[in-house]
Amino acid sequence: MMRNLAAVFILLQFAWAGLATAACDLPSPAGAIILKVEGQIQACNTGLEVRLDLDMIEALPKKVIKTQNPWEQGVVTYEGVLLRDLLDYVKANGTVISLTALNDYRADISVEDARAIDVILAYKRNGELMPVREKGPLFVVFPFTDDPSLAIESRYAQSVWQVSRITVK
Amino acid sequence: MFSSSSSGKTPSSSWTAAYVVGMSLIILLAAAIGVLVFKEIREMKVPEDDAGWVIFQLGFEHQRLTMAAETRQTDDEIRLRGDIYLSRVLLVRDAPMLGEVRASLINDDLTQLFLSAQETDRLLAQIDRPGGREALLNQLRADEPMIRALMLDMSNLNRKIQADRRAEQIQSLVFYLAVLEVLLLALMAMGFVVLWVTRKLREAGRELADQLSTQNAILRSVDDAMLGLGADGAVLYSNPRAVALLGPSAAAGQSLADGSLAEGLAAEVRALAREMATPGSEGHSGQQKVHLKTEQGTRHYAIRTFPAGGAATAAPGPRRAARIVTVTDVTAEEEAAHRREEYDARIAEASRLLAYAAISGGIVHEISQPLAAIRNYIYALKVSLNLKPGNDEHRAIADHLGEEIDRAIEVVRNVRRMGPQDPHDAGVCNVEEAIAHSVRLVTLGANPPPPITINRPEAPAIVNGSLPMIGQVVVNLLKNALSASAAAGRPGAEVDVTIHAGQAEIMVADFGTGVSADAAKSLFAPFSKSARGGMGLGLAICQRIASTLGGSLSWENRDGAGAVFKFTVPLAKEGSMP
Repeated sequence: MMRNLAAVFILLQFAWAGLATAACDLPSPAGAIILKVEGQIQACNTGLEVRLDLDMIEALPKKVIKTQNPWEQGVVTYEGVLLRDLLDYVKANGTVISLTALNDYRADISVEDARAIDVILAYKRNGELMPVREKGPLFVVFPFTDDPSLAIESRYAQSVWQVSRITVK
Repeated sequence: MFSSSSSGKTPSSSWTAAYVVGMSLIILLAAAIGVLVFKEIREMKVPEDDAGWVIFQLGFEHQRLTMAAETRQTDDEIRLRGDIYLSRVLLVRDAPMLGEVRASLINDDLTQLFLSAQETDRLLAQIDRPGGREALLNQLRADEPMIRALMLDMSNLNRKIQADRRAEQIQSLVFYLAVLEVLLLALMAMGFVVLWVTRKLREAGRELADQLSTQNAILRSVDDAMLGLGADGAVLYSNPRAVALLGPSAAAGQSLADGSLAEGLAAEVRALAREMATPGSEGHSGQQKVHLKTEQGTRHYAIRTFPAGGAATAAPGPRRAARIVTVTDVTAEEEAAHRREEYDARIAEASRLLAYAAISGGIVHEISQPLAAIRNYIYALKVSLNLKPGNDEHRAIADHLGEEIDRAIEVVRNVRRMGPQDPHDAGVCNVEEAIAHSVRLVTLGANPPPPITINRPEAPAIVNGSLPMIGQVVVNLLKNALSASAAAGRPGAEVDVTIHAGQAEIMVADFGTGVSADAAKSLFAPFSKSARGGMGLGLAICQRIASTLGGSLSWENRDGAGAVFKFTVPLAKEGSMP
């Protein structure tokens, strides 16, 4: 009896390890790392987190948003990856994602919002990559012009620039 | 009179409605303005200090860059810090949201910021050259006072913006309060107007009511028949009521009560007018009451005649003898007076009877003793006559005397029964004895006899009142109880005797359905009988006996079923038992 239980336990251990190794199969970044995703995710490529360079992010499905915002003159075209596609890519299963900027500014977006709203993590502004001094390399962009109900103070606070780290909780 | 209330009410109630509507409108207006002002104030509360936040971030990133340069970080790290710092500078330079801030800040400081940022950018690119790091550090340190000044400016600007916003809020509130005050004043003014108008209307209504009551009085006076009569009975003028009352001959131009139209009332009027028109009494007024029998009953009329006044009196001819006659229907008053007379007469009759009863009672009381004595003497006489033979004639006379005296005693006894009961010689009796006697009486001949429970008192109850008197009451109550119980299908009765506060209480309970509310109204009144039959005198007599003996008779319905009659009678003083 005890032996049976022990066997089941060991089998479960193997299964868990197999699952972990099987999930940790994302390609490793070749270029400079611009984004780290950590927390409640099932995918990984370095340790427990997913590190991404620009090529890897550009390889994900693209989404273009034309919008105005309080920090730019006129309508600007942003190109990037939908937050929900990124979450699927890293197999996230938390409820809140915490976005951290280079200056340690941090804002939270609920996973529910990230899946419902077409919010992107932009890397191109008017067709050009964004350097750090122009809110790059990654900028959370909401479609304020397409959906005016988003143009409120709390959404502006969630529009993080210079995003360098995402933590799924 | 009839329209005073309605004429006063309609305008004032519509004014009240107008007042209520006006008040509601004003309150709604005040509420709407309040909502608007509240919305304005709430929207003003939304913070817009993002601009200030960017300037402070600028200062913060400048410090972090300086620290990175001082602490010998890697070139890449310093470049990243530099990029972050420059991104804030670019934001201050370009971002639309900061346009207002740019306009408010001291222009020289901003220009210097942008120039030194260009220099910082250049030095950052050359950081890997020898002395590059020191040059950057010098530049950053040189910029510090300028950035501090900017932050100070921003702080002042923020404070100013906040103060302005608060002033705006207060202005809005004051405006709202002023509007509210104006509205309240309007409300008050409206109230005064309504009060004033209401008072005016009420005065007008009162005047109208006065006029109407005068008119009514005039109209009512025309209920009397009025006619002017010439000396020969010619009707000079008459009102419609006169024609209705006296018949067609009372119409103007006719001759009153003439020929075939000579009816009762008209004839009476004519006769009175003629009588008053006789020489010597022309100037006097006359009055006469006339009673006429009709199919509906007797009608009563008051006929008054007055001499026609003014110039007509002085004029010669038939006009001189003209009289004004009024006929008033006084049937209602007469009947009321008649009823009052009848009532007075009945009272007088009743008091006469009472006086008679008192006198006869006294006489009877006085005469009964001598009568008894006379009868004894007659018996003695008869006995002595019987002893001596040959006195047949005397014996016959003595027999007659005996018969007559027995009749006299019987008459006296009857008169005594009619008069009020005399409590002084009522005698005493044992209640138990009276009850036993009564039970025997009421169960006589009943087969099987109805069950009657008797709860006797602990001590013998000797009460005022003779056995027949007490017995009569108990028999009556028992009879009623038994018939009530039998009617409900639960034959029997319960008699309970207790002694309480110098009184014997005899309670007779039945198992019937109780006394109905209808029957209770006139339970003790004579001739008020229930469905049980009889004359309806029983309880009336019982109550009279009870009160004569100084006791009482009362009743109540039991909770379960049936009624209890309580007959109380005072206990006799000790030693009075024969």
